[in-house]
Amino acid sequence: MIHAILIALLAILIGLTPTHGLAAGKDFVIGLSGDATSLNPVVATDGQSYIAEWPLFDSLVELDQGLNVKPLLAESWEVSRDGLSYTFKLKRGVKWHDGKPFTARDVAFTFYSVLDPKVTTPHRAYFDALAGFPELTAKDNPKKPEELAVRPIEVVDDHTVRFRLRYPSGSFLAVLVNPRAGIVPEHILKGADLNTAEFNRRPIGTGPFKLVEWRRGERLVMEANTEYHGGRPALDRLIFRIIPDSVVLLQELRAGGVDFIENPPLTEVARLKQTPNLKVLVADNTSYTYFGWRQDVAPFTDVRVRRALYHAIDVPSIVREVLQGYAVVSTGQFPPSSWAFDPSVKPYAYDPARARALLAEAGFKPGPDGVLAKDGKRFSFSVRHDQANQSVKDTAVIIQEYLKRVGVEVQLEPLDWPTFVKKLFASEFEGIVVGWTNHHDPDPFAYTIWHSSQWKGRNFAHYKNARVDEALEAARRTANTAERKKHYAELSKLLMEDAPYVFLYFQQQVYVTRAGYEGLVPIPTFAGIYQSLKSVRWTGK
Amino acid sequence: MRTYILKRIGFAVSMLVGVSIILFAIMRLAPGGPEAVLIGGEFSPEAAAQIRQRLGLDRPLALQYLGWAGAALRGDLGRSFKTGDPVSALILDRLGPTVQLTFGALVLALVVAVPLGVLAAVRRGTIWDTLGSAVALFGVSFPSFWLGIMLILLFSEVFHLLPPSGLSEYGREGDLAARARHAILPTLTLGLIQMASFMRFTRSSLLEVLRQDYVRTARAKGLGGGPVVWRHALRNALIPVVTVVGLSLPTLVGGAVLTETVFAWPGIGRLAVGAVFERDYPVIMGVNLMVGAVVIGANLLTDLAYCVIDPRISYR
Repeated sequence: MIHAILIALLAILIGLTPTHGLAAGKDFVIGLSGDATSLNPVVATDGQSYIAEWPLFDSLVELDQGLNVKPLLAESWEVSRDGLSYTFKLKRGVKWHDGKPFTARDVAFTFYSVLDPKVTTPHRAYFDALAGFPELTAKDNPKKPEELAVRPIEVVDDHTVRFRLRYPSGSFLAVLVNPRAGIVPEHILKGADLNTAEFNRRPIGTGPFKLVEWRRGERLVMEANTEYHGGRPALDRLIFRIIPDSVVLLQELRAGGVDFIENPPLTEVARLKQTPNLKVLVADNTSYTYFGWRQDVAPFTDVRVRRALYHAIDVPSIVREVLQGYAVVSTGQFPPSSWAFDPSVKPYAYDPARARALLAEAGFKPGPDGVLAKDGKRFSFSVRHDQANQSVKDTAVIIQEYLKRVGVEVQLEPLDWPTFVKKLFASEFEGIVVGWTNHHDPDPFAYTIWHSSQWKGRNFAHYKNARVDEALEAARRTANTAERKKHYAELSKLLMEDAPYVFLYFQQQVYVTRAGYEGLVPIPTFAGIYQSLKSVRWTGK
Repeated sequence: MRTYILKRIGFAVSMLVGVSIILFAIMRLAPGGPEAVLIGGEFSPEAAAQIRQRLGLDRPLALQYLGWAGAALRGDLGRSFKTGDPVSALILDRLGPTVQLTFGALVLALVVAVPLGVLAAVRRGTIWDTLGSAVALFGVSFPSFWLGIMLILLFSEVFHLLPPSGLSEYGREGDLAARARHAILPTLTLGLIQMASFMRFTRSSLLEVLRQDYVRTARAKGLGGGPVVWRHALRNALIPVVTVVGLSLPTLVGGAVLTETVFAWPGIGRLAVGAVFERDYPVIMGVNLMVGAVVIGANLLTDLAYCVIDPRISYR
């Protein structure tokens, strides 16, 4: 019996080497660390869902590598002189995956769903500029579109749709892109509860791929949409395999079980670059990591203290050691790839002597244990962070060490993500190391992080500066890019003067793919590379 | 006997109710909630409040529990907060791979550990004994997540013999050879850990039995070493081993949690880990209730198995 089992095991071991049921060049296997939550672009908001829904849905417009919008489901558009009306001409002949025609009614249905307060979606805030936004989205007694004097979205004919705004908005076109603004079919979802619809598990889109299988926690399989309006994709199938362990994911890539992974352990990237059949792609990102604190709690209320903390930390060394150079030092809210970025804003230089001097100026004197103290109170505080994010964890440890050198004591408090996020938004922290996903347009995040009206939202650090509020409001209410740029430059300068955070770095996105697959375009925004799955092809080289 | 079994079943049901209450309370007392995971990077307090309301998390705790328990009694374990799938369907879908993995590991562990234990006991103090002890020490010393990764590196990266993860390859689910190749490393990882304790128990239990008078009598009557050990001594020595096998079920399920995560094995363990990190309360409740039922059931079966192995034991 034992012998028989051992012989059978040996036979399997010796006789069979790994082979794959997948067709090389026709299938593209993407390794993901986690599963999607929902495949409905109106309600899905987490990173994995964004990735998985991208090939299934189209938005009205999409981004190019310079983050400019270009037509997708919309063929062209016109903006009225006053900037309050956007009229989109839609592509003709576009079909849903079930063969039904796509029309302007689907567009109106999608955005009215986003505005519907019964639908759980954080995307709603991006459409603040739409006419009737406050009335339609009111918590109590929201109005219906037909009750409004001016309808925000009007179906002119089957292939024309018009949006009306309540103020000119420079970010309006930018928020109409995937993965936050994919168009969903009215003929399937009308009357359904979008939060729980079966559609969210078995979606129908107009995108280049159709969903054929979703085995929870294991894989998602999509096949080419042969009638795609942009031309049939070169690949036959997209397979997303869910492999939570990063070491195993990397091993699958080496063994040929997957063709593409994102964010490998950064210490492995140099080795991966030298692996002959693999290719490493690096893209800038809009997300940044920062070291923050409660603005309204002493001693952080003193600008000298905040600047001292900035001077005490050598950010380039963190980029070098923790991020292995795959990051850009941040100088504020906007990444260098953004048009809103102001190169004249420079971060505070690493200067521990200056940090000590500023702290002394603020009244801190070294205590008996070496930790600074003021009025008998030691300068000691806790810094909370996500325990699962390795680069954040390492960054927090280095910050603790740098601050110790200038006499500031930090206790690190790693927390699991759900707990951490809850404490963040309840403003239950002293210090934090965390990041913002950000948006390719400056407004959606800049306004909600820094405007003083947002203390109960993303401005959980309780920042308040009337001049910053003014700059944000002025930038929000103009469609003129040059003017927006001026206001955002003002914002960047004010933020650096105020030093409300130590802005740390914009971590780059690193992707590894099997050599021979071409056509991946690393667009410098969160998960932007997945937009190009429709153009991926196998060249074999 | 029948009264005993009925009593035990009654006890098991009340245990399960107790487990569900404690679990429900612990889960809700833990900080954080599902809304952070469901919303992701675009978190806002309004969206979080809306989600809590939609999921019924804004109701009093006792009402939430009663609602869940009432539905569970009707066989409805609710729907996953994350994907909206029925929890029972998720569990059923994952049951097969977990049963395959744990059963495979158990069989592998027994097939290797019992003969090794016998060898170590019979050849006590020789190189076989030392070797057996070394294997046992090896098994108990390494955590499964580390052992799993080492096996992957060895068999996949160095020797290119076995696939690193997954249940099978897409499009080849029906191919038994492909499935067997995928199963080897996780089964070995989980099995090695169990092997150690089974081997130690077999050895010590057999050593004790071999000192018994009836063994000496058997030998005096001229019975050979083989039949004495395998037919007479081992059967009695196996009683504590059966107990350990029964009690090892929670350890096996616990080990499967880590092993399944490392090997991206789509089983109950991975479902549970994901659900805990995502605070997917209905899935956590469903999985734990099922595991609780299996463990309580296994203990009952272990007690009953004694009667089969040793006719002197009976229950009234």
